[in-house]
Amino acid sequence: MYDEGCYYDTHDPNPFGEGGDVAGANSSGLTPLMSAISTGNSNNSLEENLRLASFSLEELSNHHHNTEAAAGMNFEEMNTHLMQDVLHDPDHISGMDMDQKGWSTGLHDMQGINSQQAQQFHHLNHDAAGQQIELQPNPFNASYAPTPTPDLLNLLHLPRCSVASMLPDSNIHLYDQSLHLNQLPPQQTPIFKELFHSLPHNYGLPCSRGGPSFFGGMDEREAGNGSVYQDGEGRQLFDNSVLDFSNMSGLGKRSEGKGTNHFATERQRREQLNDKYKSLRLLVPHPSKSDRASVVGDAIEYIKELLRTVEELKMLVDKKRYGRERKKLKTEDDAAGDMESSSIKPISTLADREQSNGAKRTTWLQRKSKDTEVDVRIIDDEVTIKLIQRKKINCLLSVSKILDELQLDLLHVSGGIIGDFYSFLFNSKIYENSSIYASAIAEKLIESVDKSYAAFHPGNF
Amino acid sequence: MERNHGTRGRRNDKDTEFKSKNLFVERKRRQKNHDMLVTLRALVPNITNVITLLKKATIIDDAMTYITGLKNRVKDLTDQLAEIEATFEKDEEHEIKDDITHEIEKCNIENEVKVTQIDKSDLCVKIICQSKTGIFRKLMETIRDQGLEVTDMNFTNSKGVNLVVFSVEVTQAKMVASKQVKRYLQELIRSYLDTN
Repeated sequence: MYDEGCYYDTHDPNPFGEGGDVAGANSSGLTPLMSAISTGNSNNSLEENLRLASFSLEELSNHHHNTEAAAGMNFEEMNTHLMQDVLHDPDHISGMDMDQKGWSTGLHDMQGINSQQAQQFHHLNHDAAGQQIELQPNPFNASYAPTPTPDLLNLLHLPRCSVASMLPDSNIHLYDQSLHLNQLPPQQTPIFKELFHSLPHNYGLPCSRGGPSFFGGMDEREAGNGSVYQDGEGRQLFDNSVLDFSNMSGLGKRSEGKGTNHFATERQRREQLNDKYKSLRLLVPHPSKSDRASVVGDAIEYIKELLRTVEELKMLVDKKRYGRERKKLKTEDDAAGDMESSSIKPISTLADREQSNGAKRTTWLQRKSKDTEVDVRIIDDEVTIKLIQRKKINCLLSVSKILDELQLDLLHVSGGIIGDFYSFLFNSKIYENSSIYASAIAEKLIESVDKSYAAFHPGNF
Repeated sequence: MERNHGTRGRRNDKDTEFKSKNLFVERKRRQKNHDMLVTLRALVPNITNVITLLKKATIIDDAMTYITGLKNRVKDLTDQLAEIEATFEKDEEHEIKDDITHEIEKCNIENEVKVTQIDKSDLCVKIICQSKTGIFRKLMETIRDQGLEVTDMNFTNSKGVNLVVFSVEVTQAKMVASKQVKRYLQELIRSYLDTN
């Protein structure tokens, strides 16, 4: 069961049920970091701590990558690590399956290899020490030996391009001789076609976007074969060539400039990131602007709203469930409104009950549609609704109908026409045993107002 | 997506410095993006990988799984609630709401309707009546049937009495006399309140 309060608990199983092992690995990795970061409980301090920690973490992780590259460590590890990184991202969007398998095998292996260090980890978990941030990346750094994820990566062992790009001299050693870029033997093609088509779609179809640019770099190296890679044929030829993740492309320069040309990978990475932003946008109910900051802002607001709704619903469910039982037990006395001083213990934990003793239900949410904006706030049993209607129709009637349906007693209504808008404020009281909740109110209101608008206008004109 | 194409990073022949027409705006925008992402990260408790914790992609991925998880949870709870409602509905005695209203101290008030003409096609109506559920709706229906449109509305309910003051505009072409409106409203109130 999903239990928001316990995310930082070491032994809490991953609430989304991704698998116990993954959760175990996660939480072992998680707690030292989080315990160090979240000393305060407020969101603010968490943010600040994260900002501070972000510098150290980014440094460390960058450092991690750089040392491996510069020190000329195991290219295999580096390569598969990069591959995993690159491959896992699109998987994450399209489904959890591949990701889970990949991560669980990867993590299992890591755990297997560093079982001792993992045990150390668990010990560390139980001490609350601040230095754990420092300790953490080191085991990864020192003994990072990821096992390539099954199937796909094994197939892709052949072109170790991303590493090759960094040290062009070692190209020849890593490549299978016959796969040297200057000669593209057609017999090799079927393998790569399969590989290419077996990649998840999200990975992008580089040939359709960056086809020509992929071979820009090669032009320089091949005298006389340049014409083979012209634009028009680039697309077709790409299928016949090495599946090149790396950077043999470039801005026409061969490893000059920055030393490593990341144009193609970088482009793919950017595109993947953009796709992720788009998917995030799809999740929120009313996305407005499509720029990155707004998407993230909408997501933040939506998460907060969802959390409030969950709280509200939890309280309602408990109230309903145990209110009924109390009613049954009591004979004539109807003290149903007095939930807070209940002597019966419901299923929700005793801690929760104590916390909500005396707390009143509070919810707030906003819903917008094309012409209507609704703002619903509930405190205890009073509902305050603000309604703004952009087109002039008589929405009072539909609103009053809905309020009657939902058993809300009107206490106060005020509003009127302001410019082009109708703007109203409704105060009402929830009937005692009703279990209406905020999002239901908002949705019904918007639906009925829009409906009456649609019905009204075509008929009128 | 916003990208400032062509405003930065172009090497001029004259200078070797990067020029940007809106360097500060860009910086602010990037800072804002970063801050939003950090806020999002702080809000999302599930963590898939600590190494990539602060990478944009990871933040967004974690946020997406979290949001879908929360949505599912909301759906579960809503279903639970509906289930409880359904199973217990038969047991519930539908308490008459009027019982509750009787407990409230009530003023004894005579029902009153007052209609005045403010403008050529505007009327101001004042109603004092006993409150009863659904009366507001009835009132709105009557107004619509009369071809009137509400321009202002004030409705208050206190101690079992409704006070409604509103102004209406006559939308339909025909002239509506204030007396006629008054009569209709009085009739409405009488009939509605009497059918207890």
